[in-house]
Amino acid sequence: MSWLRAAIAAFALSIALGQAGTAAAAGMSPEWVGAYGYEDGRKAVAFYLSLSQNGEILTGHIEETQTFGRRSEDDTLRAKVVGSVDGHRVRFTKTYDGTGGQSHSVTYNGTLVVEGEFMFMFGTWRLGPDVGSWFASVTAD
Amino acid sequence: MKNLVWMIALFAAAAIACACPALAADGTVVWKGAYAYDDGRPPVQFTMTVATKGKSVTGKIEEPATFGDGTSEKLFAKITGTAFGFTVSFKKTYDGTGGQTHTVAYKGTVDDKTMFGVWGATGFAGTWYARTEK
Repeated sequence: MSWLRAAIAAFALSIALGQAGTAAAAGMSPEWVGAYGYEDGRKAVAFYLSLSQNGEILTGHIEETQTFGRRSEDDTLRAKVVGSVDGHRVRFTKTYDGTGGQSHSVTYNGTLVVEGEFMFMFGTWRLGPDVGSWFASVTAD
Repeated sequence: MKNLVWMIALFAAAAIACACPALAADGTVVWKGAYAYDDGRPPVQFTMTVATKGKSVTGKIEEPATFGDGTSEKLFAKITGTAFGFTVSFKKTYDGTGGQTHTVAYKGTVDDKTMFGVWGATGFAGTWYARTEK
């Protein structure tokens, strides 16, 4: 039955992303809210994630609280996101846009869970030898 | 000038207090979440009741039986561990239901409404997430 659960998860994500697009057009926030953590016990870094889906392809962008790099005007770092979703498995690459002198890429792998209108993703991120965990959630209303 | 210094100190102390994660306060809270396997099999949703006293964390977890001997639709486990600063770690030990008595180690980052991180057991590993709506 795992294929059925995966299909339901993918369908729900598709619906949520579609509604997110509608919300964006109406000027409402379509954003996932999340955070990533480090293994050394530092405070998690909060972010907003805007995602669009085209088939299995995911694109979007992230805005996060700036915690490294040359200080930006609004203490925010921005990145583009390109990835894919396959059933309950999500993966994407986040590439910083140069703000704060940051232009490196971080690989995110995760799992998508659907609880009615509430959805969340969680998993690990990797940057060279560094690794940590992350989550993001959204309500499709 | 002295008053100004005190006001700044009090403001800073209040700001630090507000930044403390939820698990720093004593009490019992229900969290909902899921854990996933690194090998890609479907995630498992769970409900976790956590009681904190100082740094000590105890509680229980209830989840659908996705493994075991098939004698129960649910599995139950006790947890015991610590939460300090932004770090939480605990061991989850199944209570024997479904023939399961093994222990899984959880470690993660915590703030006022979410916990997330990694878990590991003999031969298995993955990630997890939980939230509270308190």
